Amino acid sequence: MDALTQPPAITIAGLAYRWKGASEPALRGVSLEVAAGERIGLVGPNGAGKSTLLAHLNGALLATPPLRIGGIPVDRAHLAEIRRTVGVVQQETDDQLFMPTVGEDVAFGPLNAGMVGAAVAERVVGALERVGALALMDRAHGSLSGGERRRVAIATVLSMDVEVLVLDEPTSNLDARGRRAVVDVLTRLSQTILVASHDLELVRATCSRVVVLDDGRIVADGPADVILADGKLLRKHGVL
Amino acid sequence: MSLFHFGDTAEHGHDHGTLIESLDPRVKVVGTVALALWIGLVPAGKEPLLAFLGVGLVVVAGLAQIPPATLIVRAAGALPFVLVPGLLRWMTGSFDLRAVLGMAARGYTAAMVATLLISVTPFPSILAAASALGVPDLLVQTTALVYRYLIVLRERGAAMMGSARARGYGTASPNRVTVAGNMLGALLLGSLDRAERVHRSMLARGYTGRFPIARAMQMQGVDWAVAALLVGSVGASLAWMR
Ligand SMILES: Nc1ncnc2c1ncn2[C@@H]1O[C@H](COP(=O)(O)OP(=O)(O)OP(=O)(O)O)[C@@H](O)[C@H]1O
Ligand SMILES: [Mg+2]
Repeated sequence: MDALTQPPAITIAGLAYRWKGASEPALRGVSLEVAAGERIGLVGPNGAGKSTLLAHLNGALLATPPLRIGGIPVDRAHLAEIRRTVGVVQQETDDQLFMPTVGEDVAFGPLNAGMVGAAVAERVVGALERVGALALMDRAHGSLSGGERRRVAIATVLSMDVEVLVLDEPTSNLDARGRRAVVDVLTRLSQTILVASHDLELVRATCSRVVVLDDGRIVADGPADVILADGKLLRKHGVL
Repeated sequence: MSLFHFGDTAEHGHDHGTLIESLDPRVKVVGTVALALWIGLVPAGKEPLLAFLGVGLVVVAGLAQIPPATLIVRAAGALPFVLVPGLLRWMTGSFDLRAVLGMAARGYTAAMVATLLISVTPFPSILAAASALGVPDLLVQTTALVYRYLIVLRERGAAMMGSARARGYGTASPNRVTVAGNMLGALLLGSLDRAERVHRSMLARGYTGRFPIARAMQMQGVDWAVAALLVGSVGASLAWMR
């Protein structure tokens, strides 16, 4: 498919969601279209619904009508395909790293996709190289620092060769150097990226477009330099 | 020691630690089963012969650069389980010291064999080997899951204990038992939550209910030789003892 007819990387139309047992909906009609290769920063106060929105992108939560990723509907029938296309780096790296060693964790996705032998090794080495963590290959994740863990968590998803990369708070709990490392990794990638974060420096450094979410609604959506310069808007929605 | 072998034939057999570590995992699993069988089939009254196997295992551990003391101590962890049947017999009045000692000796050597296998083979490889050898899938996958949950439990348990110790918890603490009980409860509940989140993360990376097998296994000359030697000597010694 050539660039002109390429479907949007992400299409969300009127997405609403209420968690079981919650009195208020977490999302109240969110519509968003993201072009392939775009990098979006998703900002908003605690409880705005950012993580809930991200959970819909790889089908961890399903919506009707379904979201679309690269034209594919995110529904039960297409889950396998969606999971090969969208990679999610969770907020808690401890939940993302579960194999005995870093290498095995990064290989988990490719192996599940049916790859074997040298092809897997190539993916693992490539992904670890891109996050600057090749030397950690044989380490147990319990022995890694917070920043190393974060980069390895990103590698576990990069090894799947995904087209859309979704990250939830990739710099939380990181020191200045750890944050810079994550920023470096993200700026070098060519995937469509959606990153939810309270770290406006990260968003400024890595995203071209910013979406502000508050109380389950999109309250602003525009070029990063414009939105991030609007102190009044950001303060009003608890981002600044 | 690398826990993960991606490539296969090219690197097989040399650059990963000792010869014993780099043996095909299927050989090690078959060898373990053969030795366990031997332990079970040593005729009653001839248990002292188990000592030969014990010494052999210690030597093999040494070759694999595992301190013999580690093997001896870890295997002792199985002793309480081995002694329970003896205790039951004692309570029911049919106690026979020789029989109980013989059983303990068998249990202990079997534990040594298992400990050695686990020390020289990464757990995922053992599973892959078992699966390749025709162990039913359901059993392999269930074991894989239990193993995952045990790791989660151990990590969280250690973290919780560390935090409690940092706040002065110790053997001398008052309500030590209550605190331990609470901790265990929180541990199980928390681990369940975490296990569920881990499971979600696994699904997100294409997990379909089967643990992927890490490497294409390939039997080399050495592997066949070791397998033949193990199975042959087990068979021969059993025949000789009859
Ligand atoms: N598993 C859940 N069960 C019930 N309610 C939930 C669950 N997860 C989130 N919620 C609720 O949904 C709303 C949105 O939460 P969400 O986690 O999406 O916010 P967020 O923008 O990611 O916040 P944060 O910045 O704190 O990560 C909140 O009111 C929250 O309490
Ligand atoms: Mg969140």
